[in-house]
Amino acid sequence: MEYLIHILILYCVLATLALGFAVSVGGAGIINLSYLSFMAIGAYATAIATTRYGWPIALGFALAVVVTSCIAAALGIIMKRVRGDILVVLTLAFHFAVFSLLLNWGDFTRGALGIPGIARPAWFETPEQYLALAIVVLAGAYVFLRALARAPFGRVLGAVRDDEIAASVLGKNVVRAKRITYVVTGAVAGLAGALYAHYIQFIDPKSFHLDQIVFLLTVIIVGGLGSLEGALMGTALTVFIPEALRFTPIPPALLGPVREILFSIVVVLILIYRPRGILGKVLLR
Amino acid sequence: MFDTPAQLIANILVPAMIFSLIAAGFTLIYSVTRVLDLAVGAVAIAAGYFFFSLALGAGLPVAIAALGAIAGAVALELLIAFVIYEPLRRRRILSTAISLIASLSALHIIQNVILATYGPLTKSFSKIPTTSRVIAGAEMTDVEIYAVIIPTILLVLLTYFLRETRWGRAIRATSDHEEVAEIIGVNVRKIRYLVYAIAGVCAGAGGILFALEFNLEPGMPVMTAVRMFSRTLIGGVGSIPGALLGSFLSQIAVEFSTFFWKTQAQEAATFVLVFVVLLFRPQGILGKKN
Repeated sequence: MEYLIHILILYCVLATLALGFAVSVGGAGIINLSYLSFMAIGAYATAIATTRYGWPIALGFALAVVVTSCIAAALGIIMKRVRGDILVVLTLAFHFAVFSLLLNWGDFTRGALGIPGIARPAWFETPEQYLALAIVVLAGAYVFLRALARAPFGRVLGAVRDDEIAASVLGKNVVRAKRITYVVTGAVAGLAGALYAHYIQFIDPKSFHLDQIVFLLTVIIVGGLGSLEGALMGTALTVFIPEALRFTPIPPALLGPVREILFSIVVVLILIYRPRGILGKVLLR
Repeated sequence: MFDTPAQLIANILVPAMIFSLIAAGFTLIYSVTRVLDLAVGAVAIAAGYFFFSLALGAGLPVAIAALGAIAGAVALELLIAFVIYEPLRRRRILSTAISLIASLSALHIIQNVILATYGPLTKSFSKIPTTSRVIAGAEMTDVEIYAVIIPTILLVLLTYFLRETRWGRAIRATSDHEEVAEIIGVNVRKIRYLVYAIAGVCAGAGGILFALEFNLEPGMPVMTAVRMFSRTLIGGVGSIPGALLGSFLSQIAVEFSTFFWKTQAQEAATFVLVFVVLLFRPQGILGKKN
């Protein structure tokens, strides 16, 4: 039972994360590979504020959202003129810059040692209670992003994704739509990062490395682009099915690599045979 | 720690030449097929592991083990192209972004296969004896001397091949305009495989030198791919001189940032460089605007 609750909490964290990524990639067509670094920034913001400076945890969560929004806004301004392949490449470079900063800014982030002893919030100390918090966060993110996607703004995003020039010819403010996407998705990733940090109670740069980008891509590619439900389902498939591998006779030392290899094979197969994903509406370009 | 200028140059030269070689293959693939094949970094490290098995596991002479490992790297690169990139191309869904995602997956698969096969511990080449000598005031091991000479020879050969031979002209034609090349009778599919094979040779040789110089750890495929990628971005993806320039600039940045901050800031310097260069020149310093 404890194990099941652990998996469910992880599901909520990752699904929240995936929702934001789905809005960025599927909604606005911004393949922001630095997305995961916002989860890392959020996690580190609250971890440092609460463990080192004794901030209350609620403020830590708020700080995570504020810091990631600001950095995402800055990234959005830098990326104003950038699109397509260069955007993919630049955001990947940004991710690695953040990653090596976390790893090397010794006295502030404690580098590879990571930050231990991150407290759980009062009232949410047991896994069961934390699951309640995680469900609330996931539901909140879903409702918020769904409202955003249904609003006129969501249609502007779709237009930006499908044809940027046509959207701007029709008088839509493409630059503004993209900037808002960066801020909103960055904030969602930061929130997921804080949720993760206060649950696992330990973070280090490795928790946010390339493996996790591959995982995120798996989630939204399996689930399908342009669909929030696809992101939720993609997360479910990629979280629960590999857990079932635990009950097979594969030796535990090989379990991690085998799971990662399976993920990647699935991504390649879906890219080749069903590029829209399972619930997807649009093609990745 | 104050190095002599000669030692500093040697410290920059060795990794820069190794990465130039690996990055040259990567950049050639991009210029011909528009595939950002990050898996090249993993192929290089896989070659290092092949070399480890052949030279230290099976006890073959170093030269034969190296040739075997390069052959393995070529086979692996061709396999990736055959299983992943060519089917994507046939279905007309191969954009650069898709190729980046697919190659990340391939990279991830290779890294985890290595982890599952060789385990998490460092593989050391200390059993292969090497002597060090002083050249123009810089202390260099035999391996480091080879790491400068072999990439130089291979890059000169590659340049000659691309400039002067029939196949090289076909490769450049495909790179300039695939459809026109096809119309004038170039078998572009064959050319693409040829390019993947060349990249396999470059990555294989570079990977073996890299392994001899830095030993092997299972996390290295990703790091190598990232370094190779950042160096090509600086110089301009698609340009072989760009790969060379990017490797040297970023190695210089790494050396100097280590000198001034005395930390492991290392790759952070490269990424700052990437960011600055791409913001002002998105195609890289020597890249062509498309």
